[in-house]
Amino acid sequence: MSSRARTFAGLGALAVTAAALAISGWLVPSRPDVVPDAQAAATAQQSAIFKPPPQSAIPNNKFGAVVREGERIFRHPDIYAKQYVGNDLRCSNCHLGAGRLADSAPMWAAYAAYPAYRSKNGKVNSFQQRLQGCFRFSMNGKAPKLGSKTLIALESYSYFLAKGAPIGAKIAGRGYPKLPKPPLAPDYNRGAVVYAENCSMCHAADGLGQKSDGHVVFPALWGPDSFNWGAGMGSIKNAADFIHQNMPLGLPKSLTVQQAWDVAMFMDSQVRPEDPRYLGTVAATRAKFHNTKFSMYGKKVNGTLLGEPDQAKPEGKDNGK
Amino acid sequence: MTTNNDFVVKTRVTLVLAAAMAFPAFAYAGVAAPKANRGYDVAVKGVRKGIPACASCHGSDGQGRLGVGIPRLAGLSAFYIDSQLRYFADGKRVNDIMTPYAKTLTPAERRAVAGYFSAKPAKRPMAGTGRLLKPTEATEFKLGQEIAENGIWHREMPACGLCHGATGAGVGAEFPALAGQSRGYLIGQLDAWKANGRHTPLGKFMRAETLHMNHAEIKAVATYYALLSDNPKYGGGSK
Repeated sequence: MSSRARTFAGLGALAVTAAALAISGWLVPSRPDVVPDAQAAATAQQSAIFKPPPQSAIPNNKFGAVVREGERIFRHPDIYAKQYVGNDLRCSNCHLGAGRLADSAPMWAAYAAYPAYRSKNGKVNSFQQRLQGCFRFSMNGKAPKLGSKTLIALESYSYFLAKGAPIGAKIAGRGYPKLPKPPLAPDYNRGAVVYAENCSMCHAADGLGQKSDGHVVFPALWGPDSFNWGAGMGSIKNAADFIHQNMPLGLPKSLTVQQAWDVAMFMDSQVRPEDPRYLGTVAATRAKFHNTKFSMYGKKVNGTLLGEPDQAKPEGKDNGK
Repeated sequence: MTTNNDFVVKTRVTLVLAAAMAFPAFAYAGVAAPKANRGYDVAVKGVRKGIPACASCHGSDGQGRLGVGIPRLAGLSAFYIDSQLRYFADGKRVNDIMTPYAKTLTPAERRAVAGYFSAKPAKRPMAGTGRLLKPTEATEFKLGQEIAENGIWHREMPACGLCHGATGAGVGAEFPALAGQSRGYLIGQLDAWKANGRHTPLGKFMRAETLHMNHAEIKAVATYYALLSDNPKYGGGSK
């Protein structure tokens, strides 16, 4: 821990009374739909983790062509599905290894788990419907129609990856492993220090990411080119789970549990594009869609009421280019 | 359409500028704007008695001597070159030739020479040659491309391109360009990280990556980047 971090930790200790009051809230079990059941993953033996077939196993026929198209979209939605994408993100930013990596929300596990009931919209969703949610929220774009080429290609790629996986059963490696509750309530200021020391060299101090040769290399974590308020990653819990397991690239699980929660809190306390389900007021939208301790939507941070429309509007980006 | 594109471009430029102002490494380029003559003096004429100028090995255009492992400096960020000279001077990087030389440079001279070389365009030796890969090169290239583009996830090793850019062009001030760099130099550095011989601030990442790689994989990655050009035949422009 650096001296700066220690300073903030010290300040955090002053807030310990407040934290103690708040901590009971953190003991309530999370909504089951926020993160798929990854408890199994945490305890499962490595050898039990499903291995998707290699790229070389994609057949050279009509089906294989659709699978390849799905993989292309997955890696570069900005190129191959750009009419549905409104930001700088790619599927593979949150599903590492192009959707193959266990404990990084792999597509083979997701495919095997659908159709599934989601409390996010209160109904049983087909896999294609689930993909629509990704485009609408995580990609801050437009949902492709059910049966569209884009969804069929992504579904085919996921189906290919899931070949041999148990369907409908619990499967190790699904989603992100559930992170234990933090010793202290997540803290914005401590998170800012974690961010500066571990994240900013890639995602930039302003969170807007970095490009090379005109291509996004490090995705925007907030601001107009990031995911919108309806995305799963806007949940501090989901983000903490992902960050601890997968970030920084190359040094996974190197942050402490507390650091992961703190930096997730920091990231999810920034401005980002509005929730497309916006109900006319931030308060009403929070009450209906964000009424959880894991969402900063509708909270005031540094004088800004998070979630107000046009706070981080992607200008001219998502209307056809 | 045109209007809309212009608007998009302007918006992006504004964002990039905002990013530059918020990110010290970018802002640095402004602060460090070197006096052109001083950079040239250090790089080409030499400023220490008995010590040859940088150009005698790296070339006055900074293209290096790739075949004998002398790296290309052209096109690297000024921040990156200056940092490396500082690391040589304070022992975070070690090299028989660079260490004693870097120690003689003042901070102002380091910045000046960094500015000089960063302003030179980086050439890619394979670009436009139409040369076909030899069979051994082709085998290494293919494995290197697989690692560079996809990583070795079952060993928790992410793809090189995730930090150095899909085209190996480098990112920002901290992540150097690899495309067209000297193969021998790249192998030497990857080996050095693996042997814990570089102690630079972001070196923990490269050390972690190299620990996941065997020597054949290190050579393959180096071959891939050394040969990578804008020519699709050598992986340039592949996604």
